[in-house]
Amino acid sequence: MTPRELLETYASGKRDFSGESLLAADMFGAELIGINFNKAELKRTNFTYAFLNKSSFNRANLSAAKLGGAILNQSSMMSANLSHADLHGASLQRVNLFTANMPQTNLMDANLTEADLRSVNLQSSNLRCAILRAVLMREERGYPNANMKNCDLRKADLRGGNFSGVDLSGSDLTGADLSEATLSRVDLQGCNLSHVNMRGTIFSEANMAGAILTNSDGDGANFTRANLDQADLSQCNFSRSNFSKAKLTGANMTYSVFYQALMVGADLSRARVLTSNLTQVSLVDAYLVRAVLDGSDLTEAVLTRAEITGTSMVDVILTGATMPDGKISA
Amino acid sequence: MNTSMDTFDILDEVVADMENDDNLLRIKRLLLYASRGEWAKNVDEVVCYGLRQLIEEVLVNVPDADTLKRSLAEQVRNLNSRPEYVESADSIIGTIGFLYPMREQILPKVVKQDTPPAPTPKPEFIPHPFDLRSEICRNASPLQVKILIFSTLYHPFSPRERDWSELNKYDLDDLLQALYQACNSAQEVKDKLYSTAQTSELAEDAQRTAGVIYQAMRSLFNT
Repeated sequence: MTPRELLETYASGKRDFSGESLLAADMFGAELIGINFNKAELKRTNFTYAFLNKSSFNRANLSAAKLGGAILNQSSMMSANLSHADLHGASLQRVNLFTANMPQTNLMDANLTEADLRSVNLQSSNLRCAILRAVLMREERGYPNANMKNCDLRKADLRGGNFSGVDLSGSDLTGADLSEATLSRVDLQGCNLSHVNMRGTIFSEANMAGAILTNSDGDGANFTRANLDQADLSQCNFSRSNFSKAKLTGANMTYSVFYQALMVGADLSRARVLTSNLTQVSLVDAYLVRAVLDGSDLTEAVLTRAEITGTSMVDVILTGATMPDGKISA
Repeated sequence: MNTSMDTFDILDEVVADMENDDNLLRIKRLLLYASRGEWAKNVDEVVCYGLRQLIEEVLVNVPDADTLKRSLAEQVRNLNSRPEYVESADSIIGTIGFLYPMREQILPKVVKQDTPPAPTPKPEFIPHPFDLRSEICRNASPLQVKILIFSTLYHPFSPRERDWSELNKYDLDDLLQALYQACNSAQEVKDKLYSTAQTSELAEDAQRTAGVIYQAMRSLFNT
C-alpha cells in the first residue's frame, strides 16, 4: 500500500489497516486519528508530526520509525517493536506500551504522562527531560520487570509514578524530579541521583549500592531496608526520612541533614557521617561499628541499644541524647 | 554630588563582594529566609535567585538591621554546618545591615509608598520548571514547542531538515529557560513566539503552540 492509497482509503472512512505494510513510507504530518495498525509492518516509516491519537499499534513493527512530535495520546502499542525508534518530543499521554520492546529509542522531551509501561524494555534509551508523571511501570506477575538499564533520565519528570521492581541500574537521573514516586525494590546500582528532588519518594528495599545522591533533597523519603552500601549521600537533606533497617555500610553521609530521621536497626558500619545534623534522629538498635561521626550534631538523638564499638565521635554534640545504655547525655 | 548614584554604587559593591564569598549559597539561603520566612531546601532553587534581587527583597521586607540580626541568629541556631552559617550571617549583618540607613535612596519607590508593595523582581531562572514543562506539554506536541522556541531564539528550523544535531543539543528545559531569560515581559514572549510562528512552515499549528506557551508562561512575569 502506498501512502497516498492509505490516506485516500482512510478519508473514505476505513480505519482497519491491520497487517498492512508501509515500509519506510513518508507519512509526515498525516492525520490518522483512531487508525488500526495492529501487526502492521511500519519499519522506518516517517510519522513525524502525525496525528495518531487513539490509534492501535499492537504487535506492529515500528523499529527505527520516525515518530518525532507525533501525537499518540491514548493509543495502544502493546508488544509493539519500537527498537531504535525516534520519539523525540512525541506526545504519548495515557498510551499503553505494555510489554513493548523499545531499546535504544529516542524519547528525549517526550510526554508519557500516565502511560502504561509495565514490562517494557527501554534499555539504553534517551529519556532526557521526558515526562513520566504518574506512569504505571510496576512489576506484573508472569511478565519480566521493566528494563530501564543505562538510560539517560537527566531532568526527567517522574513525579508520582510507580516504578516498583524496575531495573534502572547504571542510569543517569541527575536533576530529575522523583517526588512522591514509588521505587520499591528498584535496582539503582551505580546510578547518578545527584541534585534530585526525592521528597516523599519510596525507595524501600531498593538496591542503591554505590549510587550517587549528592545535593539531593529527600525530605520525608522512605529508604526502609534499602541497600545503600558505599553510596554517596553527602550534602543532602534527609530530614524526617526513614532509613530503618537500611544498609548504609561505608556510605558517605557528610555535610547532610538527617533531622528527625528514623535509622532504627540500620547498619552504618564504616559509614562516614562527618559534620552532619543528626538532631533528634532515632538510632535505636543501629549498628555503628567503626563509623565516623566526627563533628556531627546528635542533640536529643536516641541511641538505645545501638552498637558503637570503635565508633569515632570526636567533637560530637550529644546534648540530651539517649545513649546505648539508656542514660541521657548532659 | 549625585546621592542616588552613590548609593547605587554602594549596593553594586556589596553585591560584587558577596558574589566572591565562599559562602555565597549559604548567604543566599539566609537572605531568602530573612525576607520570606521559609527555609529553601532545594539547592537549584537557591542558585536561581540573583544576589542583588535578594538583598533588595530583604531591604523591602525586613524593617531594620536589628530585626534582620535576630531573625538570622534564630535560624542559624537550628542549622547543620553551624560555623559556616554563623560566618554567613555575620557577613550579611556586616554589609546589608550597613545599607539600612541608605534604604530610602536604594529603594526609593518601595520605602516611600506605605501601600501597595512593589512587585518582586523576576527570578533569574524559572521557579518551578517541571510544572511549566508539564503544563505546556499537556496541550502541545513537545517537539513543536521545542522547534518554535529554537527558531525564535536561534535560527529558523524545519522538522523536514536532515541535520538535527543543533536542535538535539538542547532539551526543552534549556530552551524554556533561555526564552524566559530573553524576555522581560509576558507580552515580549507572546510577540516573539507569534512573530516566528507566522513565518513557520506549519503556521497554523505553530500559532496554536505559541498560544499554549504564552498562556503557561504568563504567570512567570509580574506585568
